[in-house]
Amino acid sequence: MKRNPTLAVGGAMVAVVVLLALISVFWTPWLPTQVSTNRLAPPGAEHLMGTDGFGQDIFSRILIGARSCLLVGVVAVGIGALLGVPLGITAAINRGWPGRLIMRTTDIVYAFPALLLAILLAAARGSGSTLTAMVAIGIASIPAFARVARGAALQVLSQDYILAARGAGIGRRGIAIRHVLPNITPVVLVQGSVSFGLAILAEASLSYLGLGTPPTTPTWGRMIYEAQPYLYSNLNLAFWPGLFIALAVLGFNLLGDGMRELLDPTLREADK
Amino acid sequence: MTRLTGRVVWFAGSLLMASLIVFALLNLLPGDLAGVMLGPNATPEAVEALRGRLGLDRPWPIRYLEWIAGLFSGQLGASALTGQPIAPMIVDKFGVTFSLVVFGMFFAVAIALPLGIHSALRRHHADGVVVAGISQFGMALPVFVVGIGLSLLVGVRLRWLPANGYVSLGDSLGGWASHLVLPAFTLGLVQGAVLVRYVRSAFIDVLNQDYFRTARAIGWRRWPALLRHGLRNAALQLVTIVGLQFATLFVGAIVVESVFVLPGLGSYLLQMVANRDIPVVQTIVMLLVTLVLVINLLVDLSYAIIDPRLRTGEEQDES
Amino acid sequence: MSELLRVADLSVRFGRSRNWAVRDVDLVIAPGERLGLIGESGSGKSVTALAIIGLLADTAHVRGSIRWHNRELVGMPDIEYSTLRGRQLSMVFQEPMTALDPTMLTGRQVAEVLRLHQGAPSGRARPRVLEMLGKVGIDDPERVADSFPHELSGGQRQRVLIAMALINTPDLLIADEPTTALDVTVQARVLAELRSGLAEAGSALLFISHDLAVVSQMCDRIAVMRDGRIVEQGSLTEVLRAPKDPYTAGLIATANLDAVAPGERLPVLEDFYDH
Repeated sequence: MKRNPTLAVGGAMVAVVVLLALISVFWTPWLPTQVSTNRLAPPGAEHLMGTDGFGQDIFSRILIGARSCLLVGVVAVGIGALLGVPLGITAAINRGWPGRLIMRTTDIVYAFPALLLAILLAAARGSGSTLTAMVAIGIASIPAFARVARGAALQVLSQDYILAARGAGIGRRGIAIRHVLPNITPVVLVQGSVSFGLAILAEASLSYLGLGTPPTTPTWGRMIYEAQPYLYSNLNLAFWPGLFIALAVLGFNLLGDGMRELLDPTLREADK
Repeated sequence: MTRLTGRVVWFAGSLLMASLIVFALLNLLPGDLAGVMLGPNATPEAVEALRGRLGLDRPWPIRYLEWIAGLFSGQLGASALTGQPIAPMIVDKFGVTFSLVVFGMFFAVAIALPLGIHSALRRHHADGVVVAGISQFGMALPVFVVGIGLSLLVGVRLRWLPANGYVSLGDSLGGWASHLVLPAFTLGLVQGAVLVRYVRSAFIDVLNQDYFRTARAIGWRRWPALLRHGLRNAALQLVTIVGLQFATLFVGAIVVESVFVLPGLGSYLLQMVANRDIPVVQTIVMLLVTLVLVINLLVDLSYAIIDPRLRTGEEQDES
Repeated sequence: MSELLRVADLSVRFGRSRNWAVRDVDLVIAPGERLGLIGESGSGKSVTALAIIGLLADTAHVRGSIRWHNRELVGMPDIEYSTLRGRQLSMVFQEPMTALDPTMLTGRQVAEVLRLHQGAPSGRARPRVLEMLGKVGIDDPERVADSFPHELSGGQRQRVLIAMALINTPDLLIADEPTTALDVTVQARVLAELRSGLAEAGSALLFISHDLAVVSQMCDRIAVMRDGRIVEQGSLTEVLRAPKDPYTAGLIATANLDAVAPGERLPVLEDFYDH
């Protein structure tokens, strides 16, 4: 850990977010949706981070918000990895036109950033929801996973022991599962961490635009949206959710960078 | 097949696929389009009437072809709810979004290029590491948070620029520019933070190249050597990233327009989503996707201009 | 004896490493003199060369002194150093395939060296560039000047780089294994062209190589490096006849062995005397 401060700092930040989410499962100081007449209270003993325009406790909402933040990340990264990684490996094993077609097709998805896809889905369903947001962000992250998986898989496939395995009569599927998948897992984890950060950012933007999670569930992006009428007088409402979004994204980005350094130690002293 | 025709054919194929995706998502998902558009409280008669008016009872391939034919002929159609033709609206609003994106990219490059080169040159020193750290932090901020922050600071507190709103170019050049600076800068700052990383690694790459050492050995100082022999070579890597970032910029523009209350394509799109005016949504999204694909095509073609090794014409290899 | 370059007690280490890559090196080069620096890879030859031309990595720590025309080069600000490089002091590197900017016509890259130091406008530079390319053994200077590096062979690229290094008639040329990456047949020609180019420019040479046979063709004096130190230096004939250091003796004994075709006699020391 001492050797890799990026990994340690990133890991600690992510741990904070996970901890907040875990705490919220068992305990929040107030009911996160409990309105009160004590509106726009400054941070204090009673309300650690103050209250919002409805008198709801900001700290409680931040705690619950950590949960939706992680949920969106896990589901979106899950969709991206579960679809993208097999596509990438398939493209690497079938180097000819099938592989090329797969990669070119996933390239088209690059023209549909998460937000645009989410807007499309929201329009098709009549309104946005956590589900449409997660699915859209997940689909948009498929090409990144496919690309990374393909690159790493090509490298693995060029190794001698793959030739040996082929010689031993192990089929393509066997090689993919037994040799390629375990060897590219670290690289996929790095991409997962980076995509996780991007997913949190995209979800925050969607919530801010009112296309994500419905108002009843507090999310950090939504909290900033709801803080807008009070911005001129009371920055407190937007400050906390903004801080935690940044903390979570920074955490996952650093975690990804740290893991990358771990995989390839030359990166840190990337020159002579 | 030469590189050029290959790329153009692929571009046409991508457009076709993309239009099918847009159309399918909006028309073929389970659920009745007219019902969605009119909301849960609509009477069955009203839904039926709208279905008839939109031609939803006809088979989807015909509807798809009609839509595509309309796009090609510039007949973008009419709003399903108001019946007004949407082409003039879109042209008007596209101008706002396009200026926002172009100026945003300008700011992004203006921020990222010097900072990225500096942090590449000084990567062993504290200041180079600090730049990399700031870029990390900038990447973690959502664009609307940056926008709100700048609007409050520069617009409300300092009063240097309008905090939000828009004046059209026809009314006042100064007003137009002053209303665009802050949103474009917001976009550029967030995009620039991401770009700094790529600029940095592209230039560290150049710094480790033999030809950079040659440039130094013939007497160039570091910065001039980088600008003269590094920029073009780094550009080969960076052009791809910048091309991909245009997609992110258009999406960022949707959010920024919302923060700064700009009457651009993004605000219009969100408004139409809220109105559930599906045909308009379909056309605007297709327009944005087309733009992104056009930019990707231009990026692809620009490689040959930058890299003489690709000028010989033949496709080298799959990239 | 007049001096061009005097390296005294030069030591170099990198980053946080405790090991000195170069330790207490002393070298003197007189105007027009040709010094061969020989040693196996990792012995510190290239680091010494880069220290002299001032292009060591940022992380390098340099101790000692490098005097050039009686000016101290160690610690000289880059702005001043840059005016020496390419004009008084130039260098040719080992790997010609990657040493030229792939995006720029080679003729422009040669002309750049002229313009950078003499401010010659590009129109006036061209005849000089073509002349110089001809001198280093390029048969069709016009075509080569209007080519991109990837359109040239390794030997042509190295000639272009030699032309760049010599076009300003420098006082000293540092050549770091300039022919190691080339085919054996091309190697001999490029070395001959390098010799004639040097003679015409009147430049001194610091020739770095691991190959004693090549060094003995190019140089009047040699210095032998091992583990960052110079273990022996002297005139070529002296060192070849009576090596003081056992490492040098070993070098001499094994030199050229693998260049001998089967059936020919093995080289003896006499072979190195007259050439």
